Amino acid sequence: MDIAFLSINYLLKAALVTVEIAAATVVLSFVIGTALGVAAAIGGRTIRSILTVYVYVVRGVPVLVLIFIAYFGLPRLGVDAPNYVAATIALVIYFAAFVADIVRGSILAVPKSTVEAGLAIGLRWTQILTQIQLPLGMRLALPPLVTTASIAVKSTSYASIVGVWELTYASREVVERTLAAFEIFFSVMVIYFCICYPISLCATYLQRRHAAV
Amino acid sequence: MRRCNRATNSLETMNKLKSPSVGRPMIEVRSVSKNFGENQVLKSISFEVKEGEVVVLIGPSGSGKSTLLRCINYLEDFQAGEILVDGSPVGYNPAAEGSKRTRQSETEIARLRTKAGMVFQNYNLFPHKTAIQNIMMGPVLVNGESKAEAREHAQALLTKVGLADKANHLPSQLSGGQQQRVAIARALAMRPKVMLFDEVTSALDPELVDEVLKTLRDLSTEGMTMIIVTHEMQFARDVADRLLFFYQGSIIEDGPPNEVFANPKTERFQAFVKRFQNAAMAG
Repeated sequence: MDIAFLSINYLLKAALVTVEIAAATVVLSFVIGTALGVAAAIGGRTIRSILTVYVYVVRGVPVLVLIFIAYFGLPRLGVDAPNYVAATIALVIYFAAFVADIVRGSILAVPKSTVEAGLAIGLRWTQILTQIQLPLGMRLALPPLVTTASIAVKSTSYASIVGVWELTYASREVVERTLAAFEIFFSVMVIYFCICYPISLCATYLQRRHAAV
Repeated sequence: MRRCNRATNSLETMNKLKSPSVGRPMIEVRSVSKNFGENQVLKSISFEVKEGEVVVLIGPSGSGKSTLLRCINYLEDFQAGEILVDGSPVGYNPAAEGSKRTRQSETEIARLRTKAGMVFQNYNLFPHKTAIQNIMMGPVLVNGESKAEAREHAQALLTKVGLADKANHLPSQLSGGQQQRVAIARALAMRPKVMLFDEVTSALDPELVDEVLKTLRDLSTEGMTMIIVTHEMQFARDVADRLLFFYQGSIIEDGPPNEVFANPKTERFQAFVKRFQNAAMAG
């Protein structure tokens, strides 16, 4: 295990890059996805069909292929983005679609009768959204959103394929240098778990806090 | 069959006699028609409810009672006719000669809804808010009351419906009857001109019905203008100034309950009442 021990600093430095890409992916895809999901839940037919097409396309494409498209496609569009930016954009496009679908479904799952009770006391649609549909919908959305966030964190490892130096990439470097594949990848597994576990903890806390609903 | 409290009933009857409903019209329904596709659920309905009057709508399921109630609060659209609450049109501004009626703005509709408090069959409390928060929401967000003012009023309303100690309970921690009384308080918090009750006891366990009906009785003795859709025949007879019997989208009986029950004009109503009496005897 001393080989792993010697490499651990190198891996932890790489893990920091993973955390950065993961944080950017989760935050951006949740913001964009929530906005799209809300728009699709309350908006007209046009926005609904746009979102439907988007979600279907993304569902049918592996995230790795999306990363390749962003990596090779952005320069063609004249955008000179570093590989980690291209990978993050691809991840955001991918996960925003799932977030949007979850948020849309959860808002629509708030009973019509509860919404009507809001209308009956004279609330406007914006107030219904902010006071009733979003708070109740987001409680329903929480468990699937947590799953999506964990998958998003782990999917940052795909960025290694286009040369982004993050945890998975660094671990392959170390393995090639040391040939201690099992020890290194086992350490990497533990590090990924340590990154994802707080998300689950946070979710458990939130769910317990709102358990009454 | 529940025992009915004769003492309260006779007291109410006396109150009624003292204050005959001769006020101005609070709700005017004029030739309102509504259809869901091919199915016409309201066939040119017309009636008025005067200030302080308690009108009870009865009739078989699907006869259009609840739909009409929802039209008065514009939770349901209607294709023809007009409805006025306290003199203001509901949903549509009246058409000028020869032109089409125009749909009201969201603001106009929202303002109108505050005049007519609605209580639903399934309470429909906001599950993520406590009892008092449920009641305060409308006054604060819609009427612009300060939180302190709204809280004070909400607490008074909770006391009035007998739930002063439940202010900080979530709906899930309350029984059906308690939830329904909070829902009534929530509607009253908007200081409405009229109250609409849509089968408010139908979802309750039998032993919880009376506490809700008592709240309704209290409101009627205070002179609140009310339309009540119910299947509680005895309650309807006790509390109503006027009884309207719905059948297939039309009103086929209209009058003071004693008169309607004593001399029904239609066989439909006789059959309807007989079925209820049989059910009562069986139960």
